[in-house]
Amino acid sequence: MDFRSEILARISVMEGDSILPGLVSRVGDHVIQLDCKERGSAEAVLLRFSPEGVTEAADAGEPSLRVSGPAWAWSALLARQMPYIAAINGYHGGLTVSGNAVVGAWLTPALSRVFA
Amino acid sequence: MSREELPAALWPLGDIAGNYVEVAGVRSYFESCGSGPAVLLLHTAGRDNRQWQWVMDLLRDEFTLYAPDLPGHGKSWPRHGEPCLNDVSEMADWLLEFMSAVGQETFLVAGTSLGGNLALLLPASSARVRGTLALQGADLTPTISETALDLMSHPQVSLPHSNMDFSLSLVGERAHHGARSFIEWGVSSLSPLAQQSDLRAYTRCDIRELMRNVTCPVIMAHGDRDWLVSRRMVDDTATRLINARSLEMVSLRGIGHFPHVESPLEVAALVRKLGTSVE
Repeated sequence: MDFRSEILARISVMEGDSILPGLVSRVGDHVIQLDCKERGSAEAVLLRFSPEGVTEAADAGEPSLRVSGPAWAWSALLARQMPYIAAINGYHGGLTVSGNAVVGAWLTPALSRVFA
Repeated sequence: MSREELPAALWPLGDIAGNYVEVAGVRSYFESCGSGPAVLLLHTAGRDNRQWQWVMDLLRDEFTLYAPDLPGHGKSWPRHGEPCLNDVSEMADWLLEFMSAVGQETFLVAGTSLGGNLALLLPASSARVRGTLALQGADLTPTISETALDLMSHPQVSLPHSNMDFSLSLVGERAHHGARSFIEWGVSSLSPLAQQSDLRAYTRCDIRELMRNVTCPVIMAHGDRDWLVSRRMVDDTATRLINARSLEMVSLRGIGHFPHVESPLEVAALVRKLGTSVE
């Protein structure tokens, strides 16, 4: 797939704070860096894509995405026991995606590669 | 699909005839081949009957196989007004009318995912079904959020892009290379409205109360690499098939959400077993 965009996504982790620090991944062709930090650092989580904007054009403000859920769901996700796409599934997962719907749709493929 | 991507057993394909028949006022496309007892083959959400070509070729000497495209899918024309069906009961009615239109009073059914749910609903709705094979089928599948459904036809969302990882994450490691390529191509060529309608029907599917009406032989097969349709969902469904003449549970190891595409040989063997069970 040829996916060129640059997105800054803000993720608010509602629970499971202790799980996230230190997670830095090089993922696929699209996501350069995922740097998750503790709760309270609202600007800490960045997903950076390269190099040309796509969703920015559709969402001229600040593209934002929030993924929230209970600690057990984050644990399963980060332990690779449950893929992202399952973790946000309405039946199987405990995580909820909210924010800009278009950004969410575009970030889903990337996040599903981060947490495959 | 090129020859080098396929196991030798799946090449070459024999003759498969494509035809049209009118069903509920829709010019509806189906493919058929073979001779023997009739089998209705049901594709997954948003896809078309090509998914079954490998299985059809393997079974042509034993069965008469029919693989329709639902309205608005593949080469079937869309309905007037609302292009695709978006309710499993309406789909079941349409499929029964389709089998009448091709002149088959009684038949076996095999279907996967949405088609697997329909493979359970059809014998619950009609005594014309002599036996059924539900692949990744369940009677309760509330798996897709309304938001996700709405996004599928959003003007700024590319469904093939956003759906690719979802679909490929459902493929098992034992799927042959050609299957993986075909599933990927299936996502690339998705019709948003067809996918949206099918998954709306799928996620709203709750046919638990009807399972007691199933009296024919049932085989439920589950690819164990499918996280969307879990084994628990399949097992829960099985507990409600209390009046089935026989019920066999099969685990397909290393296979995911698309067994008929990923492992046609195993699925063909299951259809044969189903045929034997109704004799």
